[in-house]
Parts: sequence; C-alpha cells; structure tokens
Amino acid sequence: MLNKHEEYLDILPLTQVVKERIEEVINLNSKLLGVEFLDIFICDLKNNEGAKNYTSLWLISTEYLIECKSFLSNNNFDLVRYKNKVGYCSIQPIEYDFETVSEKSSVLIHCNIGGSSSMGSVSCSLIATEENCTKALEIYQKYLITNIMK
Amino acid sequence: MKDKNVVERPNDEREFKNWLKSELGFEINNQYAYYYETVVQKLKKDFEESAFWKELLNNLPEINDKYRVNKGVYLLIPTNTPTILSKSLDSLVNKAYRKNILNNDQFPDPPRSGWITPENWFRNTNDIIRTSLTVKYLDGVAFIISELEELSFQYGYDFDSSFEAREEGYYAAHSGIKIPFSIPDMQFSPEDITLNIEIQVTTQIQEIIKTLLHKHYEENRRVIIPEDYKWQWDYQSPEFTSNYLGHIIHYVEGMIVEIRDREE
Repeated sequence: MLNKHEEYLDILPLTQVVKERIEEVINLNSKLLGVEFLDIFICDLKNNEGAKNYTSLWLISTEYLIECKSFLSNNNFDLVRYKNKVGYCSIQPIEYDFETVSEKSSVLIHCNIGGSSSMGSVSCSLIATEENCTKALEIYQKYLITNIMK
Repeated sequence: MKDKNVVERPNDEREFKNWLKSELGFEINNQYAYYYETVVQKLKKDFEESAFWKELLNNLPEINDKYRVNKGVYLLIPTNTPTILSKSLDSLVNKAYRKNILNNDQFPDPPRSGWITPENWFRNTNDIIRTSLTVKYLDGVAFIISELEELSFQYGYDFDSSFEAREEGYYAAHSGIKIPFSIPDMQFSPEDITLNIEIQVTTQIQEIIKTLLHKHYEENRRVIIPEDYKWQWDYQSPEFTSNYLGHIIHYVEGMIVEIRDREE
C-alpha cells in the first residue's frame, strides 16, 4: 500500500514505526471509502528542540481530501469533497523560492473548499518544512489550483 | 603499643592503597595507572564500535516514535545523544575502598562476595563502562528498559535491570548488559572477559537533580555515617533538602504521567 508513496516517505525521512502507522491509517480510510489514494501529504512542524513533529496526514483521492488529525496517536478523520470546489487558496513560502530548500524553508498553504470565504466552506491548512516544501508545492499545484471553482 | 596481628582499618583511599599492597599484594602505582587507562580506553572504543551500540543509537528514533504512537507524546530529547563514559581509576579505587572496607561489616575478613582487587575488578564492577539515557516521562524509564532487554536478547547478551528507589531520594533504573571483550593483561597478553556495561535510564528532571546532588552523594560515600543517624529529622542538614527533593520530584513526575494518561 505504501509502495507508491515510498519515494516521498524516504525524503522526510520517517521511522519504520511511523510508516507502519501511516499504512494503518491509509488502510482504514480505504476500507471506509473503497477508493485508492492518488497521493498523500504529511504536515510537519519543527519544535523548539529542532525535531520534526508530524501533525496531520492528508489522503487525496480523485474526489476527496481527508485530513487525519494527530494521526500518530489518534483516529480522527475529516473528509471533504474537493473536486472543482476549491473556492480560495493561498500559499506563504518562507525562505523558499519554489526551487531550492534550506534548513530554514517552510511553507503554509491555506484553502477554503466549497466557497471562497470561511462562511459555508471548509478551511484546510497544510504546513511543511525543509524538503517537505517541495511536496507541499506539488499538492498545491496538482490538486488545489486545478480544482478552483469556475 | 600496637598488636602486630591486628589489621588496622584504612581510614581513606590513600591508606586503602597501602593496605591493598601490604595485605593483598596489589600495588596501584603509575605503571598500573597507565595499564588501567590503556585497558579502559580499549574497552570504551570496542563498545563504541560494537554492532550493539550502533544499533541502539540507530533505534532511538524508532523507540521515540513507538512511544509517540502509544502515548501521544515524544519520549526522548532529540539533542541529547547518549555518550559512553569510563570510570576513572580514582573512582574505582574509591568504590573498592567502600566495598572492601567502609561497607564491609566483616573486616578484616573479606566481604561476603570476596575482595574487590585489580585482579577481578574488570569482571566484578558494573560500571567501568557506562552510559545513560534520559527520558521525558516517568513511564518511559520502564519502556526504554524493555527495549534494551529486547535488543540484548537479539544479540544473545545476558541482561538484568533494577529499578532503584533509595531512601535518600535517588530514583533511576540501572540495567546491565554482559558483553564479551578482549583486554590485555598486565603482561599485555590477550585475555577474554565478560564486562557489564551499565546503562542508566532516568528522567530529565531526575537527571538535573542527580547532577546537582552528585557532589553531595560522592562526599557522603566517603564517610561512615552512624547507624542511628536519622537525616529525616535533621532539617538543617544538606541531606534533608536534597533527599526529600528527590522524593518530591518522583511523586510529581508520577502525577504528570497520571494526568497525561487521564486526558487521553
């Protein structure tokens, strides 16, 4: 199940324990929806000690975006249909020129799905640091911009 | 007049060294100090380069994530990489002095487990090579001990552990892994020994307290305290504050884990 995401997971890098937990969460959601996920994204933050803290796991299918909040220790899944329903999105890169990343690079992506304002829409936030910024940009370009409401 | 048949009890390490030479025939001189340093440096290097140690270091992120998945919080301090320490000869002599003399109620006969001498102290001392792991939460101490036991089992090494809870407010887990090494003997011929590598596991807060109180513990070990002395009633003594601080911290750390788990 994780094979097609292996390249991404190795970039972060993650321990075997975390990979197994990701696989478990993907399997749970696959059973629930009966779909294969096209892509995954893991939000990460650096804590005061400089260690990466993995917060949310995003699962992306052709129709749905699923946020698995605090996925390492909880089963708490938010689901939204996003196909042609992205009303607004923004990206805030810090020390990141969309090409090269450094230890100080980070990116914050914010979007509303189902409307352009927070009223009557679902807001989503994705955050990434260092090498994970490249994947965040890919998600932004491939799944969010292309699904902005006409 | 002194009775020549009565062996006088050494009063400090200097007298102990003289006693060791006159009664047991072991001289701790510059030549021995050089030999000891050579052996200890070899043991330290061999352990640092061992597959067991490398695997333990590589496994720490896995152990940290395993605890995170189970408990919802991280256990280890990422900037705190464990280092291997060796016991100085002075410290070892002090330990031998305590075991052979200070704490030996059978003196001038040997202690029940026999004399600790240069002939056997590499085998019989638990912490000539040691390291420590510091965790954030009290329940993480047992968690790490269990991981160490599992790794030792994989390598076929004997493992034991004890959860220290002393009246003096000292709390830590001590584990010992018996690993075979080759060391030179005094004639520089190879000799196979099984050395106990001590891995202490303690919490971050206890580690701070331990560092602050280390001098106090060391000084305490060098003196004979009267059997009927009750530091619990001597509120002006250094022991009163430091020992109760250890107990209070342990209690608070237990409460922290209790509250954390209740909120899950």
